[in-house]
Amino acid sequence: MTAQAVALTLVLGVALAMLFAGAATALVSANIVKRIAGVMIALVGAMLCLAALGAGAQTLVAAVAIALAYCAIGAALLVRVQEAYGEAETPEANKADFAEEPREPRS
Amino acid sequence: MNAELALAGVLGVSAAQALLVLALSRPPGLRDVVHVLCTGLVAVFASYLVYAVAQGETARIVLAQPLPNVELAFAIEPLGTLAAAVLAGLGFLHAVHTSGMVRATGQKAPARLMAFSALTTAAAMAVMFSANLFSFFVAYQALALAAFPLVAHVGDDEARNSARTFLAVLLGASIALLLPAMIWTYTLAGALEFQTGGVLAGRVDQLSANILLALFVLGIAGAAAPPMHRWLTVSFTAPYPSLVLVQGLAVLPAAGIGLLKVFAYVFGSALITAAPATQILLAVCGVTMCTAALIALSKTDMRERLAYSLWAQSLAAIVGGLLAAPAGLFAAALQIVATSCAATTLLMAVGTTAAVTGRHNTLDYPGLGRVMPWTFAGFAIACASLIGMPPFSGAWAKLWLITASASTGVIWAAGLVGAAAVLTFAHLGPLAANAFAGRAPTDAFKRPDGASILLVAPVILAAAGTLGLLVLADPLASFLSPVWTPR
Amino acid sequence: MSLYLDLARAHAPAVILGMLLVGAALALVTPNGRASWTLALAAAIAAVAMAADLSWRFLTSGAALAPDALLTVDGVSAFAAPLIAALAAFVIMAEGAALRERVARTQPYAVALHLAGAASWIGALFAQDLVGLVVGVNVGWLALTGLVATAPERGALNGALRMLTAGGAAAAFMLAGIGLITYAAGGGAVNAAASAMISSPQMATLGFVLLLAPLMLMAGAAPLHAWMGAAYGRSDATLALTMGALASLAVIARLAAVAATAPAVAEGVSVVLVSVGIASVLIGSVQAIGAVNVRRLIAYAGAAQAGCVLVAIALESPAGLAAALVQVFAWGAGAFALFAGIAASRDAALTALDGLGRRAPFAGVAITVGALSFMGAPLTIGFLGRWRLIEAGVGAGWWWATGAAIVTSLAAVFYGGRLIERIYFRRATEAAAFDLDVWRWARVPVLAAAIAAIACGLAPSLLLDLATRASMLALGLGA
Repeated sequence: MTAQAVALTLVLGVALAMLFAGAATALVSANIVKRIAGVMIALVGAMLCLAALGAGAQTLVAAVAIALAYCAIGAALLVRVQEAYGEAETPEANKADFAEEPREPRS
Repeated sequence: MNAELALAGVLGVSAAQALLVLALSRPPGLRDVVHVLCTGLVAVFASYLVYAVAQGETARIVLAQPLPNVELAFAIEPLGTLAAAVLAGLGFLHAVHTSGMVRATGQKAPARLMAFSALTTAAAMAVMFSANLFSFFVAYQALALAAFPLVAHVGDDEARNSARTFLAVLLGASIALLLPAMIWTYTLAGALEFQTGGVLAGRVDQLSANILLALFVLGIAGAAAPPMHRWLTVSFTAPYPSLVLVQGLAVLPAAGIGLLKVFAYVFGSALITAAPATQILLAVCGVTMCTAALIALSKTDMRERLAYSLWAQSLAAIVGGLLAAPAGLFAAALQIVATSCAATTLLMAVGTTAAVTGRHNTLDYPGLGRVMPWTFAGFAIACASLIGMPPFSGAWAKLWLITASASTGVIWAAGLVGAAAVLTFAHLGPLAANAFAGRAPTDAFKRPDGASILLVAPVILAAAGTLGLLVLADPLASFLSPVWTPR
Repeated sequence: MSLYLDLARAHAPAVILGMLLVGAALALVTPNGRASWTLALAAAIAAVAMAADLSWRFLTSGAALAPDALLTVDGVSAFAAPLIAALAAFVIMAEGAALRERVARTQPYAVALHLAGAASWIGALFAQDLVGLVVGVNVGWLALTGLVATAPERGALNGALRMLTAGGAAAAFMLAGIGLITYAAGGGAVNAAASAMISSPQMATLGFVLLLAPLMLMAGAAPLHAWMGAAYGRSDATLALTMGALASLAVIARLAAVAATAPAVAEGVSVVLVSVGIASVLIGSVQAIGAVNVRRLIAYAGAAQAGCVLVAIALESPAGLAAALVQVFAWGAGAFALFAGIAASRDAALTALDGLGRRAPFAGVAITVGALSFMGAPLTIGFLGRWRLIEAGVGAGWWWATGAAIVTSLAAVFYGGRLIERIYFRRATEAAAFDLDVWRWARVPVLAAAIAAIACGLAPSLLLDLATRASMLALGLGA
């Protein structure tokens, strides 16, 4: 295995680790800020992965643009959720939503 | 009149009738006249079709082609046409009875009841005239959907639950079992057309034939082969006019005829290949037939007792079909037609009794025949026919069934049919006898002025029909013979 | 004039996108709410006309685009683009009243988001390379997220948040997927995998899976649909979400058609699609039966339908792909009739439907037709979709595909029957408010969808023909 191949494997490993860790945080974390941070980590991991696999500049620019868009909309949503629920924790928001759910009809 | 016009009339008038009844729901008199006239028209068209078939005419209507090589088409053939004519004739009497019933009982939303009755009739006619398996499937699903509001008509929790079971069993079985059977048939035969001799004949191996038979018999849950009978035994809470349609005039007989069409035109001679499924189903249906007649004995609500009794009768028809012989098919066809006559008479008589006296418990029946002689004369004739007592039409059906069983070597089936007849006698015979022999009740009736002509005349006329079928047995046999022997 | 028309036709995909995006921009800057809505609707209708023209020309006579066109067209995109555009136009028309009812400040944004979302999804369908496809999908998804977030109810924000995080993670996987495919196939064009030699089949397969799984998430396929309950249940953007789900499925079909022509990855992709498809049918059906919120009920029903589509796509045969396209169409018509019918009752609780048949007969009919189509009742377009799936499955020896179709239909009998029973066999409770105003706007497209669901079921030859041609073209077999 050449040094280049080792480096590629290493970088890819780190990239994939970031990707999966970020995605896991984005999907399961209770805190909304952490969720959005998780999305960002996953996207950075993806960019690293692209770079390691030798993707062109066009692809990287597109990836950066997508990441920025998610970051911007995520931040805006964070603010709105904070305003609407008074906190940035998903379990609390879920609980509040559940309380407003219609009940099971009698029959 | 040409046969195609009559066929279009049979299918179209009932459908149009539903709209007309709703549009002309007031005044009630107009609504009832429209309802009765339209069903009368359907009966005339259907009778003409019997004449046309007897003359060797053909008629076919294609409405759409929803799949390549598969048409939504309706055609006349002896089996469906005969049943359609009898049911349409009875339907006319039932329409008269319905207009009497909705007045006598102050039924809510009578126009809706009549409209869905008309739609149910239309769907039942479509089942009987379906030219291929696909059209049958469409019409059968429409039948379940159209009859659902009839079962749910009362609108309380009990009715809603019954209706839910009704729809779930009928539609569920048709999607889960009948649809795969249809597609399987299509892949085996490359066609879905009903044809004398059977579209599957010579194209199906033994294993496929066995599985297909089971799928068809259970998938057509309207014929009430166990364990697909729940819809029948829960639907007894429906109002009487609905009950007559569901058990006597539309769902049960139409599904029975549909199943016979599958036996005759899809399997044909391939039915013999389908052993041991035929034997197993025969045994299950035969034993259940006796059990149902026995359960009926334990029921004191007249409607529930009749539901079980009619279930037993319907199983007798399946037994006939499964014998895989022309005599068995003829017996089954006769059984369906005779049962339908008797069931309609009986249910209308019970309805009249309930409307006038407010009673529908068997313990309250003794002596009623003395106050309502005409209604109970019809009641007694219908009971005798269901039991299979000569000289009523049911006797012929039972006789043919026993003969067919014996001639195909299935003696035990003949024994089961006999046993079921005895059990039917046990749960209906004493009831009819006591109605006349018991002491007339002295307490006040719900309607002290008695039953109107609208409630009594249909019962008498339907009972007369039960007698009339007796003399027609021979002509019917020759009329139906093309079903199993190609012209 | 004709010269310009020919020029526009030669660059039709770009023109369609341009129409939608310019419409969005105009809607955004127009101060008057009604005028903004009218402009948006006009842009959407123009895009539908253009897309239909392109589709017809491409599918019937194989008309080609200009060699220097920015975007490309294939069988799947030609079939699906007019459908997506039409749904967008319908959504804008149907939600006219709902849009006007929003806070005045957010109303133009919502209209613009609808158009921009449609443009992005259509862009993903027409994209030449994988990067364009991923950008289109993600912009479309973000537009939907924005729409959900601007809904009046507070719970919608929670739904939008789930969409955003799920979408963000999905975007990351998709980007990684592009990297892997590009590396393995030596090029980033959508059809590179098919034409080039694949140096590392495992890598390419993984790339396809990373690309397809997020799309399945966006299509709402179970078990990847955790975002769905909150997003559908709490927002009034249900129709737009349905459009997004259909577009995702079309993109999946497009990618799967490419994968099908590359033996190195075909089998792996098929296995993934089938696994998710079956899971989606089962989980979606069970959830739909248990749902008490109508919008959520239909969302989960959609998951089951999506499962059937995925199974059909997984067949990777012309018949399977055609079945998938027919089902996408069927789902579109059925879901539209259902959702827009339900929009008539403001409350999403199941009890709000009680007695709707009497209060709003048209809405009742629309919901009934939609439910029947979901059940796969004969003579509706839903039946045709099921039949085609079973036929294609049996043709390929996949007998169990019949089971998937039957489970979906059986479950639909239960939840559809529940809807119909409530509409026709119950009396309205006092609390159930009925919104005539919403219904006034929804009437035209809803009836169109209901009629399409029936008409295509009765006379399906044109639709079947187009779907078959589209699948042949997409699989590179010629029409």
